[in-house]
Formats: sequence, structure tokens, C-alpha cells
Amino acid sequence: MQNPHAPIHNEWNETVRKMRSGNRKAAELLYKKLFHKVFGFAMHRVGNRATAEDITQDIFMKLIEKIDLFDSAKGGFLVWFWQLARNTVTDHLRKARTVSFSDIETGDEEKSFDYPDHAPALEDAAATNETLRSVYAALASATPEERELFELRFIADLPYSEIAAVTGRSEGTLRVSISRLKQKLKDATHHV
Amino acid sequence: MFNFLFEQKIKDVIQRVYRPRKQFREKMRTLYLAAWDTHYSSSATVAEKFSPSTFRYFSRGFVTALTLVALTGGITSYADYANVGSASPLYTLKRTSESIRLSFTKESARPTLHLEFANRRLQELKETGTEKARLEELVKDFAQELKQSMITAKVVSSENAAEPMGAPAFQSAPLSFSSSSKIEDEESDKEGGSRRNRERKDREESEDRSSDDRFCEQLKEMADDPNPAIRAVTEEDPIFSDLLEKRCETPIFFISPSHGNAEVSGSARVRVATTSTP
Repeated sequence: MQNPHAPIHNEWNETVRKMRSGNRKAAELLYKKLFHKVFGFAMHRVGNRATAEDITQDIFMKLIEKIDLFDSAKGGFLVWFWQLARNTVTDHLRKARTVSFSDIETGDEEKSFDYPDHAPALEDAAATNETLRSVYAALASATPEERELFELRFIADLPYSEIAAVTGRSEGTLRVSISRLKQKLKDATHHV
Repeated sequence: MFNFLFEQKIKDVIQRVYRPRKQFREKMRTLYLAAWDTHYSSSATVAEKFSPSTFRYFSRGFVTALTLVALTGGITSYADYANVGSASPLYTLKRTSESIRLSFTKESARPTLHLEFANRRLQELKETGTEKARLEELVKDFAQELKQSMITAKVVSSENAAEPMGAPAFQSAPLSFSSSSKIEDEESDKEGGSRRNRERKDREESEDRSSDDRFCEQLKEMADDPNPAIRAVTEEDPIFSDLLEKRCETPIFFISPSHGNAEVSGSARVRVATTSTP
């Protein structure tokens, strides 16, 4: 069966191919398409603007360093990129967590991070948005898998086929899970 | 449908709320493009850097350059092999070839090669008319070749004198006189043929002297050349005068103008031993 998202898949891969062949415009286009999503993703994970900026910078530097390793024969670019982004955030949180363990003796436990077992943090400024606050409140009681789906579908804006590739689940199962998640979020925000 | 609208609404809210600061946007874009510029100007693979058309142009240029090099090499070799005259347009290439040959020749064979080139200059001198500048140049080159021959012979001989067991190239040359003479020395010692040895040494010395005489005759002949232009430049050239004086009036060196290898003979004399051309 033909992949319904093949044109998207091909479009991204083509941009990457041009970028790797030395086309600066392609590199810039890739950046424009991804920048806001990456920053949003980092904000969603850490809930702190300065940290999110650091993470965004790391992700794009890694993209440049590792783009030569991307093999289009093995899958779409978006899957590869979001794996890279997720790994970067995880590394960042792990480092922060190591620091926080060393701070336990001084009673500074509040710095510790614990993802994906805890709900994403919401920045103070973002918390003033009623809808977002309701969504995050709903995510607090959601399972780690649901939070991951929220991240990939609502923040990274990946098509189902790409989410299936990232999570290793079938597309059909994903559609059902995401539909349930949407319902949960809708219920949480119905009063807004 | 309703679900889709809801999804889009959430996405819009997230994008709006999590909008990066303008300052960060600008800084990040600059950083990203600078990193890309650095990475792709240094580490792009050959296949990525060269598009098919670039590769085509590159390969054409490479083939053209290769052809030019081969052609120049061929003409240079021909000019050297044919020993073209100084008036030939290929003369410069011949001289270039001589320089290359010299640089690739082992030290023990350099005196011979310098002598060969000196002979060439002599021949060219005879073929040249009366153009003073040209004659001056050729006489200077001729004298220079002779001088170099002596210098290199001196170097080789002093090296051999310092290291009697060394200089394998000199001693083991199959056609060199010294090599055969060494074997003969051993044989004659075994047989106790001192008379035969003496005869050989006399013959060798006589050959050297006659070669040296011929060489001096050539120098003197040039100095007394009927062509006044040649005469004038030999008188003016310091190297030529020096050679004539030192070589032919106080013979320290014996150099064959035709062939030979240098070796120590006695304690103070240096000569270039003649070797018969196969």
C-alpha cells in the first residue's frame, strides 16, 4: 500500500538532499520550517525559556553536524530529526538531573527533572493562557505514552505515518490513541 | 471534522504562546547559517561538492593538463636525445632535460655526466656563429660544466677516501675500472703477479694522462680558436681561465672528457678513471 504521506516525505528528503549538496537556501528553508516547532517542543519539555533556547541551539547544531549521517533509504527526514531532537532534550535533562542529585544534600531538590514520568512544565507566561493551562492540566493526569503523542502530534506537527515510525506503533493504533487524547483534552478545555 | 478544528486550535495556541523572542530568533538564525557555512565549506564530500557538470569540467581540465604534461615531456626527451643545437627552439627544453637528468643521477656518476654536457657545449660552440652574447653564454656554461665535473669528482673521491669500505656504487659498478681492477688486484696478489699489476697501473696512468692531454688540448684549442669571438670570451671568462691554468699547468686532477668514474689514486691525486664504453 502506498504511503499517503509520501509527497511530504519526499519533499523533506529533497530539501535535505539539496542542503547536503551545498545549497544554502535549502538549509535556510529547513531551518524556517523547523525552528518554531523545535522551540515549542523544548518549551513544552522544560517550561523555561532560557533552557529551551539552549536546547534549540543544541538541536540545530547537531542537525548540521549529523545531517551527513541521515540515510533517506532508511526512513523520512522528520522521523530522523525528531529522534535527534528528543535525544538532545533527554541528554539535557539527564545532565540537569545529575546536577540536581548533587544538590540534594543542600536541600535543593526542586531543581530535579523527571521526564517522561511527570507532566510537562508550563511557563508562567504561558499559564496565563486559559486553554493551554487546561491542556497541561489534562496532560498532568495523562500517561507518558499520551504525552509523547501530544508532543509529536500537537507540537512537532508530525503526520501519523511519521509518528508511527518514531514510536514503532501501527498507524491504526495511533489514530485511535490520538483520537482518545483529543477527546480528553477537549473535555478538559470545554469550559474555556 | 470537529476534532480536526480542535487540534488546529491547540496547535495555534502553542505556537502563539511558545513564540521565541525576536532577539533569540535572529541570533539562532545567524548561528545556524554560520555553522552550516563552516561545515559545508570544509567537510562536504567530493560527490556533494562536485555536481555532474562540475565533475565533467574538472575531468576535461585534468585530461588536458595530463596531455600537455605528456606532450612537453615527450618533446623535452626528444630535444635531449637528438642533442639539438643552441639555435633550435627546443634548446631550452634540452637544457631543462639535462638539469633533470643531473638531479636524478647518483653522485658517483655526476662527474661523467657533467663532462658529457661540457662536450655538448663545446659542440654547440663550434656550431654557433659570431654572436658574442651567445658565445659568452656557451663558454661560461662549458666552463661551468667542467668545474662541476671536477667538484663532484672531488666530492666522490673524498667520500671514498674517508670511507674505504663505502661508496658501493663506485666500487661495485660492473663496468667501472676500479671494480675490475680490485678483482684483478686480488687475483694478482694471490698469484704473486706483481709485474702484471705494475703493468696494469702503468697502462692506466698512461691512459689517464693521454685523456688529460686531450682535454687540455681541447681547452687550449678553444683559447686559440680562429674565431676571434670565441677567443675573446675564453679570455674573459674567469672559470675557463682558471680551468686552463689549474688543469693543464698544475695537473692535480685527471679527468677524462669522455667517460669515467672518480676514485682516489695515491694520497693527494684525484682522477676520474676511464671506463671503456660498451
